[in-house]
Amino acid sequence: MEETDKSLIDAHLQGDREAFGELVRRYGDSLLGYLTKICRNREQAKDLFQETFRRVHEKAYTLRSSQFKSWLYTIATRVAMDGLRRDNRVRMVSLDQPAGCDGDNCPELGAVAVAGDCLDPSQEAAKAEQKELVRRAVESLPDRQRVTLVMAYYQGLSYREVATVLDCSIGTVKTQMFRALRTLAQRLPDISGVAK
Amino acid sequence: MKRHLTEEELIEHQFKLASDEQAGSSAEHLAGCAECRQRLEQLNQKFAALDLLAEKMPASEELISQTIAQAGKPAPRKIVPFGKYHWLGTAAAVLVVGLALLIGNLDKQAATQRELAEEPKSEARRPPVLSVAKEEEQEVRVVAKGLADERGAQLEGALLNRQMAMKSAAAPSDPDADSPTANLRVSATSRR
Repeated sequence: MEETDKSLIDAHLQGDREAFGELVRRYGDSLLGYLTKICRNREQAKDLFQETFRRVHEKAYTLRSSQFKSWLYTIATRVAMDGLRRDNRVRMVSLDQPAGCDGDNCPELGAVAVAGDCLDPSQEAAKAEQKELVRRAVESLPDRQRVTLVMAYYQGLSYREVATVLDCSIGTVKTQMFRALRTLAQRLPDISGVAK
Repeated sequence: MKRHLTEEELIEHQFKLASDEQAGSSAEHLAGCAECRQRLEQLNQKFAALDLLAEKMPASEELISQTIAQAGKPAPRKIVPFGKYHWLGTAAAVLVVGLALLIGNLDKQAATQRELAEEPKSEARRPPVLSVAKEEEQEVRVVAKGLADERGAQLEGALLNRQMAMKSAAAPSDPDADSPTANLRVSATSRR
């Protein structure tokens, strides 16, 4: 039977190193995806990833509720905000990828090309172009709207969870989300002719 | 709702951002309006572009191992000189530069005062003038002896006057005495 997040945290607090490792594995992919969408470069995302789990390790005793995921994203968002404030070379929620390390085939992060995603060169080029346009459209959003969008749309957090992470009301989250989507409706490219 | 839904209302409907009342109203309209359903479909196609960025991003085993290994370690601290009083460094630099300028200025003033104080001594460079005057004196004496008359006596008198003038030249109160031409004036008078 799979252990709950809370039981893993409790085990970690009892000194079980494996429990903490299990939490890192369980949330590693989604957290890295979240941080990569927030940061401009992946090296920064990896640093923030490690710092987030270092704080989880250190502050585990402060987790009162069973909402580990919200708590984890709260820490990650704070770490990301702090990191981005310190390092203004990194822009908020830039989804830009380093050259030669595209999201689908960056070996360092263990990503692999999706099976059956083999497009002919012209389609591949068109897809890359569309992807770049989407990336720019999302990048152009104000920080708060981008963070809200990334959490709600890409990470699948509910508006309530986003509100908990950002420490604001659900109404505020919905307002940020609506503004982000209204802007994107104007800026997103038409991808109807491009294979996804 | 009789009117067609706006784009904002379609967004709110699609992403469940509307209030319960508005959501019910929009759903009711969409059920009976093919045109709005078509516009909603177009909007959904547009937002489908967001999925291009929704790629999976698995964390590598290496990253996970590093993260677990580093989790128990204390956070690396950046050494910031003076900590939260980092402005002290700037203040200290300004103070040092200010002091350096002040000291330099004081030195310059002291040097100027020294020069002014040493100026009278520098006027002791008159000896060449005096020595020239002595030669002239001898010439005058020779001329006076040669004349041996009233004009010779006048020349002797002029010579005495000149010696008096030379003594008074040492005194700074007499502006003429400072003048290097004073001796020459005496000589000229005696020649007349």
